[in-house]
Amino acid sequence: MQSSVASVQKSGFNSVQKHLIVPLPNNFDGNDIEELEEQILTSLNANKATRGVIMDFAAVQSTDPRDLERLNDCLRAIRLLGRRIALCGINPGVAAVVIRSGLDLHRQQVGIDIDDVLQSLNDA
Amino acid sequence: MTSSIPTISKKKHLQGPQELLGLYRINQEQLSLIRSHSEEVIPRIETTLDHFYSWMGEHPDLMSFFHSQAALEHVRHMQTLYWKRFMQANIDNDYLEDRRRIGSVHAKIGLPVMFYMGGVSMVYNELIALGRDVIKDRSSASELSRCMTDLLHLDAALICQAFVDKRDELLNEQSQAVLAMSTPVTEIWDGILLLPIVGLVDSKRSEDIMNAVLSSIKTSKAKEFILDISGVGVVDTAVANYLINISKATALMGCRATISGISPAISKTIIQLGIDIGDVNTTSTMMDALSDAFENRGLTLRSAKKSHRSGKR
Repeated sequence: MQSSVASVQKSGFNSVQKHLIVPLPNNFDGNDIEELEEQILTSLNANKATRGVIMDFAAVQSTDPRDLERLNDCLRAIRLLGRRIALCGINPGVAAVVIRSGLDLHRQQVGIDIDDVLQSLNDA
Repeated sequence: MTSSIPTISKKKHLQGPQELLGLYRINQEQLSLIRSHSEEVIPRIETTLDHFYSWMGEHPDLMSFFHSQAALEHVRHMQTLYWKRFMQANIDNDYLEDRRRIGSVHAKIGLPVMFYMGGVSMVYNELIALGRDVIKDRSSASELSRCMTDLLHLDAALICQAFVDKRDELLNEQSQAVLAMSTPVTEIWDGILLLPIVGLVDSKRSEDIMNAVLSSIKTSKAKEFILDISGVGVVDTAVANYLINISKATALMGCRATISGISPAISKTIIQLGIDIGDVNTTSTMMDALSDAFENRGLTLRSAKKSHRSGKR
């Protein structure tokens, strides 16, 4: 569904229904998040019409609590710019690490995949 | 799934004949000494076994492991081979494997180690006496006795270790079976998962439940999950936290969780303990939870009887 309406922004991220799609790499670390954060914030600043960011975890099979903490900081920074945040494609192993590390990521809009989360965002 | 029985890694280098003989300080000269008396001792083993079986006859608990006379005769035949092999003292891989197989069989039939050791001890004492009979020289008899003791210790260690390993294996298999029974996550409707929990919930079980539920969500892409706790006896702070964490984890996978079966007593306990269940959905009955799930999925339940009647009008 999203491919028909997706557009590629200057930052390199796809944008669907005014939401930036950010695919997270497997085993991402603090440096990856720092780099992504820079690109996302720059893109959001340049595109005022972008309503939110969808973090796609589909490729992430495992992660470290410290890197998740760093990702959480990135999400907070995005929220400070007044944009919505949604997560999708979280695998069982990653979900278990998130819960064990006590992060409140479950409070975000969450979907099984990009289509599902876009549907939830439209319904909200 | 993870194994519930912790196991100590067995170093491969302590599995071969040379290494084990070294560990038990048994050298080839000692083995030769045992071997040199095998021809005199082996023919007399049957008499020793007669004593052993008459001792066993006095223990009905032990006899109960042998369901027929044929089974008893088979075991006696195997035992004769066992002691012959012991006296031939040819310690190679095949010998070690044979001893390990015995331990494994004992574990499978549930023969207590105590009985095995009692039997071995009795035959061993008779073998030592036989050794003294065939060797008139006191110091040589004593040396033979020492060599046989060392070899018997190695035998017993191999058999007991195999016994323990097999029991661990059987316990692990049972744990896996119990685990599968204790987390029966079922897709009761398209996109709706149900897990009724019965009994006690501890940290290990909550982890198992979480793994089972998250895997099921991943496979089924379910949007609704009902965790029914009507069968959970005690809900304290720890249990409540486990349940809340399971709900949060399902939410992370895009699946809405509802905890059903909250009795008035559990409800009061949660409030008295000051547990914050956050934004977890709860209902008193599974029916309510199911009804909510249907609603969220855009489904409605209609009485077939009623619509049939209205159709007639």
